[in-house]
Amino acid sequence: MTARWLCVMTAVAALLLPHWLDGGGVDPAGFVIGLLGALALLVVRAAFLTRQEGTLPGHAAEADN
Amino acid sequence: VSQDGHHPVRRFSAADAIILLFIGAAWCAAAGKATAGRRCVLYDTFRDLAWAENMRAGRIWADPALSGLPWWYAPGGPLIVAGLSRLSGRPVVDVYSSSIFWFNGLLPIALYLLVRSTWDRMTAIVALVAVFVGSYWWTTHALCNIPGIQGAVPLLLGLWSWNRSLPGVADGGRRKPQTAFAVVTGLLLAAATWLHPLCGMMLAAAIFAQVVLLALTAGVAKADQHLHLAAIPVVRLMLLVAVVAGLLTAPLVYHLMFKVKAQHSLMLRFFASELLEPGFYANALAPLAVPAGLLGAWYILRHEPTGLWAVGMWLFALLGQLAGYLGSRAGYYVPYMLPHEFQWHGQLAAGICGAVGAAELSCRIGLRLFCRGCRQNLSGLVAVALAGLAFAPGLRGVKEAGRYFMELDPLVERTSVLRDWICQNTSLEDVFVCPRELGYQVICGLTGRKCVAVSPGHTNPLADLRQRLADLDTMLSTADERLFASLGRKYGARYLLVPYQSEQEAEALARRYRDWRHVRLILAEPQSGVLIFQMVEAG
Repeated sequence: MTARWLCVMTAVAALLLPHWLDGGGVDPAGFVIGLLGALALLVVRAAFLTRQEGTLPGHAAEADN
Repeated sequence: VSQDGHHPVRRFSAADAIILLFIGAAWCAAAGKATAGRRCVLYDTFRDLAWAENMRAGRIWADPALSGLPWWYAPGGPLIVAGLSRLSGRPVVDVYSSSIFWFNGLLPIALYLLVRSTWDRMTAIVALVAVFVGSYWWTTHALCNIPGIQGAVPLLLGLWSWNRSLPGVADGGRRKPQTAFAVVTGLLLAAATWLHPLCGMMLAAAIFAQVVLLALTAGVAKADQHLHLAAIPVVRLMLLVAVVAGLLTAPLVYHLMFKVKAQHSLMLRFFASELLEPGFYANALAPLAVPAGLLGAWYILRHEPTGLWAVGMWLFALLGQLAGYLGSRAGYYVPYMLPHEFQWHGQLAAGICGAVGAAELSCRIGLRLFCRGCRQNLSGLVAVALAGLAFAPGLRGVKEAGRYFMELDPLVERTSVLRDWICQNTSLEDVFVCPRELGYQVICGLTGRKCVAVSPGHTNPLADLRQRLADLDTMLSTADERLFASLGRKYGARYLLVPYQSEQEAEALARRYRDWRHVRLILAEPQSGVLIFQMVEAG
């Protein structure tokens, strides 16, 4: 579910992005902070899932799908 | 990709050789179109041209623009060009301008090799589109013949070599770490650092981050029989890389940090205006490239420990950018350096992640749409569609590929007589008093001679820049001969070059200096519009 929701949310965000940018609503530093935060969340989530499953990432593939 | 997260053996085949040939041909076509047969460089390249001219004459370890100062930036690029210039007999200018083809052309080849060996052929092809079309930074900079871009070649090759060194990667399952590849990685890390220290930092950070992420996401403590990327052998490989690269880059790092103190240089705190343009910082031309990158990063984090370097490099690059924005724009006391270069390296990593995301998504869609096993190759079509959707909008920026180019030919032709005279009548050590742009581009860049001051952004951090600029302005404007002579002696100046726009102005300038004892008019050169005076007693 995580991957699906990530796809949906980021796709929506990306589609809205040009509008935000056109309106000057996105600060460059804010954009970089958001991207860094998103990537850091993915790292934390992946680490959490891996440790929770107690298996190798490859073996956890099915659970993640 | 097998369901246990490991790719089948990634052997290169004839198809890859054909693809590489096609990539090379496509690059030459694109570079040929952007340059349109002209010799092109960037403004920064004049700094490197000056050093290459000096190196070609055997004067390597000294500032190429200011007399009496030590070298102050990484010499790799000029050294390669000077060597090739001596070997081929071609002028430095020709070798540098042609490096768009033979050096920058290695960028897509190295990228293909890296992604092909880490993932697969389809991902590698998508990565080329994701980086060179999907990222506006790379669309507009991939052809730039500057060390910050050309240094990405050893950076990518270093990652490729590092990936080959990891146990279970090089031969699709053998557990033994490939120490020879780790040594090669160390050599490439050193090469990247000697070309451009930030490229070396990116490679080192990507390797280090891979080891850290491996520990975070792959459960290093559980290094059982299935875990090919167990921590201990990978850490050993990393240390081997660090030792090799550390030994080879120690002289450079010591010189730049402790002799030149380059880390305090204002130049490193340059904040490029592009960092505020959405097209650059936010991929506004191809906004779907960002979520594609995040999707790929997620897939790598969960299933591809061998590709964790891409996520690590992206994270490190984002941190470098953030430091730049906070330190420069938000007013916080945050040390930073060259945030624009962090941004283009970050988009290189993001493009690779985006290609992984698009390729993985297309595989899954392909498996859903078409029956498993019989028509899986149709997922390639889905990949093309997804890559088109995510990255092809960036094609709107392709016409800007040469936006930073400066055409050399008009400058070279206009100054040919002047340069010939300088080369025949002066030595590399001679110092010229002249307007700083004339000095930076022509006197230093095209002849390798020295000036009192050049472009502030390309000046040795050890030089007292403000004083030099003030003294230069004084020398070019003063009517006080004694003051002029005194400043001339201070810098060991031998020649004064004064540009003019018309004959009347030339006559007026000649009259101005006619009665001075310390200067003597020796040439009025109408082609470049310059009067050359010799400073007879100042030296």
